[in-house]
Amino acid sequence: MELTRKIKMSKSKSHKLTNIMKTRWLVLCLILFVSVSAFSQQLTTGVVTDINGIPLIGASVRVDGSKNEGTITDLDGKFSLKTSVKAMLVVSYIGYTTQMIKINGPKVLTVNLLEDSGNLDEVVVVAYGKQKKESVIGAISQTRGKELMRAGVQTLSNTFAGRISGLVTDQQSGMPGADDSKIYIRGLASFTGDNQPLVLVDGIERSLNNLDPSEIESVSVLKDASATAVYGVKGGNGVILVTTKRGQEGKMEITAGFQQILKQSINQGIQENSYTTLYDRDQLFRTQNYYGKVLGSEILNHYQNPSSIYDPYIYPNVDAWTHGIKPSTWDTHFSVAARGGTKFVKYFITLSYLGQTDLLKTNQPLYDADFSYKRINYRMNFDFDISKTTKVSVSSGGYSGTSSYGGVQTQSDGAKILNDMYTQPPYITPYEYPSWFVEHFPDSNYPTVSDRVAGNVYSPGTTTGWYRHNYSGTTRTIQDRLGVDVALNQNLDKVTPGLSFKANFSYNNTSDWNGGNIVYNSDFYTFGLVGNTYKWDRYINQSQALYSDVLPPYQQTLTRNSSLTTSPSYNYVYGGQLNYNRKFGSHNVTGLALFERRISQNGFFFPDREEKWSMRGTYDYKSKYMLEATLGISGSERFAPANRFGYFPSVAAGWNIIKEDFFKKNMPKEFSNLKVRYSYGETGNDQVNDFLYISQFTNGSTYNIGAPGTSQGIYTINEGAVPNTSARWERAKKTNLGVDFGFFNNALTLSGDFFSENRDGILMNRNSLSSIFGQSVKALNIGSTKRHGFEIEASYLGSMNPDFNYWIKGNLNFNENRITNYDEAALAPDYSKLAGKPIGTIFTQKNIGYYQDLDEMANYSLNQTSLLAIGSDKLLDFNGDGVIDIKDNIAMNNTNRPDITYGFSSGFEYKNFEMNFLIQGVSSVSRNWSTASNPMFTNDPGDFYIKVIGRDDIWKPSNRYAAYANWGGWNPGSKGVIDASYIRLKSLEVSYSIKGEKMKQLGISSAKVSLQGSNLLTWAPGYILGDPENESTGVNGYNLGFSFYPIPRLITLGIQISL
Amino acid sequence: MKIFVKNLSIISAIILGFSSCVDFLNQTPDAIAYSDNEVFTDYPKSQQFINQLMAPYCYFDDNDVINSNVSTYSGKYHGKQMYGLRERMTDNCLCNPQYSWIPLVYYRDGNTWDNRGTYWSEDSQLRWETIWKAIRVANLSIKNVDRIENVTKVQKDKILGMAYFLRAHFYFMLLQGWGGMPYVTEPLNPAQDLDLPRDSYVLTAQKIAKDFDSAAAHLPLVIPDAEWGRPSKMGAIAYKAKALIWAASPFANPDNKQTLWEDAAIACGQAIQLAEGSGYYKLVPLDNFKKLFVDCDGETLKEVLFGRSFNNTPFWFAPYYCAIKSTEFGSGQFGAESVTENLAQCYPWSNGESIDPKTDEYKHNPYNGDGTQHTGRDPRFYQTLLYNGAVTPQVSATGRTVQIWNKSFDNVQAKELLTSNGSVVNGYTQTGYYNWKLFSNAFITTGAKTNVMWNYVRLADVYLYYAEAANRAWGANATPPQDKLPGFSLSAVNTLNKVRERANMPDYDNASPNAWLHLGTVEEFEQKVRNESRIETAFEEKRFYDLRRWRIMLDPNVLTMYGMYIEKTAAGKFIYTVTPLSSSLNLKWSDRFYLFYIKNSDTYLGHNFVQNPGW
Repeated sequence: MELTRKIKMSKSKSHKLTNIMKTRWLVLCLILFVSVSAFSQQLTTGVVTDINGIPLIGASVRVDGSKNEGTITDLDGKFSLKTSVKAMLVVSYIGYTTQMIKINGPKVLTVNLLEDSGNLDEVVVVAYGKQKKESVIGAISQTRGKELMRAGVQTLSNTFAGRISGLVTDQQSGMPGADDSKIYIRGLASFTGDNQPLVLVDGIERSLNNLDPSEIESVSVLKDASATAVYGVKGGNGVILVTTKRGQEGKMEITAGFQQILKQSINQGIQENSYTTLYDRDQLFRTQNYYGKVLGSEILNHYQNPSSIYDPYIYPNVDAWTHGIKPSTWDTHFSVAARGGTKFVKYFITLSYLGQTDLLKTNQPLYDADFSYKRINYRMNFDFDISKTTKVSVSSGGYSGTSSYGGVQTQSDGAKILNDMYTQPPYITPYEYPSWFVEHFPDSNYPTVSDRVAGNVYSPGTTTGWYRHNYSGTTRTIQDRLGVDVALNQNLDKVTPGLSFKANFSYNNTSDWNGGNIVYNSDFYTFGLVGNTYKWDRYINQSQALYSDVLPPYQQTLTRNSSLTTSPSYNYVYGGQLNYNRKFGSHNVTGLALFERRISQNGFFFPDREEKWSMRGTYDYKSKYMLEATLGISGSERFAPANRFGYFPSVAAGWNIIKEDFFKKNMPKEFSNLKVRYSYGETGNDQVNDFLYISQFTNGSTYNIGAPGTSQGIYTINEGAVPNTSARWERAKKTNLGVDFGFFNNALTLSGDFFSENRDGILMNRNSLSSIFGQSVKALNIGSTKRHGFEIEASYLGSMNPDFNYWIKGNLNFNENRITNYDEAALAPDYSKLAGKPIGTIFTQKNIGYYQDLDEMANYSLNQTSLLAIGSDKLLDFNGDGVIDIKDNIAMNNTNRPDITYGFSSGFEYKNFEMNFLIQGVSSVSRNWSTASNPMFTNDPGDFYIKVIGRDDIWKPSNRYAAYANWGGWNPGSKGVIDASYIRLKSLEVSYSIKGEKMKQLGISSAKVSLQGSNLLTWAPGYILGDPENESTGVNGYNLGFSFYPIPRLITLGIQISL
Repeated sequence: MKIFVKNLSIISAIILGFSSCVDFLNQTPDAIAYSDNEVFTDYPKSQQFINQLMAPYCYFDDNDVINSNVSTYSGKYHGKQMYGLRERMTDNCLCNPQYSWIPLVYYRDGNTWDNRGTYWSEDSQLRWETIWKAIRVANLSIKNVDRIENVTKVQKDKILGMAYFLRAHFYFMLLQGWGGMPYVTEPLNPAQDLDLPRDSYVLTAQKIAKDFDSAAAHLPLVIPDAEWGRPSKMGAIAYKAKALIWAASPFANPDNKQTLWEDAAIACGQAIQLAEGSGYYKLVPLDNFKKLFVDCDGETLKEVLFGRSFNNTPFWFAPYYCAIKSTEFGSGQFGAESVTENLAQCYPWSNGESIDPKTDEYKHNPYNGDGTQHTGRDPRFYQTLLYNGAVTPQVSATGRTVQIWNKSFDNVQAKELLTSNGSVVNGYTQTGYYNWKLFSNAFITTGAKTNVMWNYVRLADVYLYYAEAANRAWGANATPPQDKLPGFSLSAVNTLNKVRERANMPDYDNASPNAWLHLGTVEEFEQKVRNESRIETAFEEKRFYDLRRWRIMLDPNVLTMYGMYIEKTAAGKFIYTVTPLSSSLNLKWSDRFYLFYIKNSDTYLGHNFVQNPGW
């Protein structure tokens, strides 16, 4: 973020400055050290900072006892004042204790003001500026980069869970390079689009995952309308403001960090061994009358008690999981940063590297089939003081990330690999045969067999699991992202005091490079009984013919892949803003007028253009009564000319009750803060399809007409979907009521926010569009929803003695939503309607037990299409039409987004030792497994497997109320809707700092060693297998929770050194 | 205050400075081909817009199969998917069990596949939707015709004529399948309530008739050869008559209202007047009868009043492969249809005398007679069915006739009917007959091309419709009232006889010595018209809807299927036994099958647009 809100007060004598001191929300947060220029003897100069060295702008400096002799500090906290040689200066600033300084001769003064009370100094990053926390009346949560580093995770979006109130996060995969979380601020409010918030990195739309946590100064989450209305149509789902670190005046400080990360797979769902599996399979075949497939005890005995050294290869017992997945692997992260500056230029430069490695075992010597991700992040932020009134900032940052994924053509295909490892039967042929085994069973057809890889005899030729990973090639992509921002800040005090202007330009480039797929032939052998003799069999996977580009990686050249839709992509943003900040007596007034344009070229699509005209005014009286009004005006070419601009007003009011005399008098001293905040406003959501207002006619086929013997081609034009000529933005009306409490000088704070929102104009397709209309229709602004909820945050900072400090923090968030209007057929039965139900409601049939006997099956089979067996799941014919089908689907209680999220963290510092942890959880959430295949064992007798935890609880005549249906009977309906609530020890950090003379002699000012753990323990009582956070949807019948790369446990050993 | 004014002026100046750039957002993607304005102000584009209704899939009344690529229909079986012939859903024929998934039709409630019994399925919604889409296209064309710039009256007429005609045509398709519909004459508003009340069957038919009148006002009497396939005034007037016949028929007119019959008869009479007065339209000679459907030439156009010609079309399946399955002519052939004995018996002896299957003559010489009592069947029989002993060019080339028998004294298998353990091998005829009408007289080779025609209304239809309506309105032998049909003096029997005369069949005439040629009562004469209709138009998809409009779907004679069991007893000697087919091949219909099922999602919108009874 640029230094956008600097206000430099004029030193012109024509202004009586003593009154114009208490600027509030436009306080500079730049960290700055003092460098004092030369001064004349009759002047007293100095700088006023807080105890952290942050310059205080507009602090009052006056000569004691004088009414006229005084000034206020400038942009850098500096002041100069004519004084007599010996005088007493009074330095004061709102929120800080006033100091008296005695002048004794010409000397540069450094005044460090102490805060009035604990938390009031905190500066909160808000839209297009900063505010002191005291004055904030919007619903904003802010976290420092330092805090996020405690997560021990190098993907920024994964550090938020439990640490920032009001967020629902969802990490769906642990795949290297694709392990980021989805973030929902206050849950869902729209059933179109992905509900993701607007993310601004230093004020510009960029992805959260472009960043290394070590370059983050702060993250601010704007939740209500007053905080987001300036973003107009983009603010509807909330806004996340990420601010990167910037330079500070002073000598160069170099920080280097190194993390070695132990990544562990969390194994769930261990399979039974070959013998048990085949024994059970035989039993099932007997009950199903497939006697021809029964292996019998003689063969089973070989599995149970190998009688020769060859038996383990002929009657193998293979655990695909342990064969395919490493127990652990190492990731690496390091970063180095330099920060410093002179009076003219301040800089922050950083370079960091992240190397994520694969949990899957790779055995392919010819090329690298690993899933991996390597990312280099870089950033250079410069701030130039061109003149006393002009500042220029030049910032650039970006990354280059290389993803490799083995065995698959797309990353989501990786799911199959994992799924295979969970579901591969243990009795398939082993992966490899030793050469002595091969020599013992020579085969004239395959004389060259030696240490060959074997295949899955039950589905020969299909490379599953480990084979798929190791023998299907690899794909590499490189993503380059570069953003360059230039900003100019001009103080316009000369025009009128308190006015400043900022112009900014930002360019962001996206390049994706795609490496050719390397695909190898799968050529493997299996050994087994064919007829009466054991023999070898060879399988060749023919699919390699699809790919011609079979080269080892060092011969591969990366080519710019023009077919990638994301390439070439870039966007640029330019804009200007006027800021006004002035105090008239006890009245503080600020103003913001803003203009911004964004042009975004995304691949070869039509470029997006956006334009924004926003303004904001605030007023407060003695920081006691605060008012704020905002009008966001957003325009986009996506909509019809008449509806291009959306107007999004908001108003907010705050009351610092603690500042009222009556309150101070009547309440106990321990009461240190009480503030009430209220806001109402409108924002929009632009995550909609563009050009809905345009009709589309396209050329159709050519047809021949004419009498026999003649023929004439006629051309045709077809109508496309009928436009929504009044298409407009989705509009959210939000209310927020907040209360902040502080006790014991704000050591204990408590705040609560209650919110409600009505969203209308949600673009949706007309579901009640009759065929009579005769054409499809583009989305109409029909849908509406409401949501409400609350967030409670509490923290306590305590100190036993100067060596022992501790803290406790917690947050609890609740949100729920309802669809209030949804276009659906009026006569459709209510239970099937979406209106009145939460977004993302899971619909499925109700499970009513099992078919316990033949009579029950005969009486209730009701055209159920799947093959029924005794012990099958039994579903309710809800609508009583004699058929169990989609019409019997009813709404389940929970959706797949949690209504409740919470986090609890605590920590302490004792001398150089520090420890902290975070427990995070979600509740009131379900995952729908009802359409996935059986997690306990397959319905396919060829690939039979049984999970250890499920085996004892499968339906049998002796276990009629089992947890799982009999073989072939898995059709769970509502029983497959699983409670995915969980509580997780999300992170735990222990660290030790080393300081002292010895280190200084080594040139090290401080060093810190830390051990961090992430995802250490998870308690998910309703969730049987897989990771409850892993929101996979059972596509293609893959088992839920297994579908994606598992979310790993990370244990990080880190060293941080500052020079 | 001064400060505020100053600030305000600065802000205003900046805003003004930028506001000149509001055009920044004024852009439209050029990737989207045409705007509404580009299409509807330009004559060629407006014409191309209505031209989309010339697409074969749109024109044709056949699209009951799941096919994601409906636009590739041309070049198949008369523009139909080879497995799409709806005649298979009648008592005229059934499709061979080898293709038991054909037609792709299953019970609407439940997923039981059934190759015969039921007609409607959710999948037919494709056709339902296509029709409404076509109606919207017609409505858009009519609504926007005045926006076209630099257009002549002739050009405008071309668009309006097509639009009115095709709107009526598609409404007629709705009518005969789904019954009365809201008659939408304007493009609908996407945001409006679409739960529109349904018009009655009769009212819908009358609105269709009115649209055909509007079309006739804009269309030429005869379409030039190069444009053939577009509707003509003749087509409009004839099709109007067809619509009014549907309104007067027993299904829509259970009380047998005379006025409806009279309206229909008048419309038919006017169509006949127009055709006969044109000097162009006429029935083709009997020798050219099959050319109405396949191997078409210029002569065909004289009789087809509205149809679609597929010229020089490579027929992968139809003319050769679909007609007949034979052990002699290579693989890949299917006898697409087994024609029922029910239909075969409708073709009388050549003297007009009806078939009595119990006679020895029928038992031994059903197709040519024994030469003493009869010397042959209605000539159309030979143009329509392939039967044991039939002569086709390719079979003749090998020195034999078509061989269809189930059993032979010498255990020699018939070439066109292969059995295994006494039952017919899949793909061979189940009934003793194959469909021949729609297939080329020459067994042409795969990939060979020919001209085929699909007709919606031909002159013979109009003669038959008139006979049907005039019989009910005024009596079979009566001249129509001159105030209703000035200058028209043909009676019902006159026009019926025109059709018979073309077939070289004797006239119905009360003066005839043969009692079977007497007219009989109104009802008896109606039966004669219906039988004539059935044999004249077999395999033209007319039986399917005639069963509905005559309200005879549930007649046991319709539901029960018969075939011919043929035993060869000595060289050239056969015993033909009429045998009921397996009951699984019978039609399984109930009352609700008179009208198709309407997509639930369309009837759930409210209480106006109601589902058809029974669904």
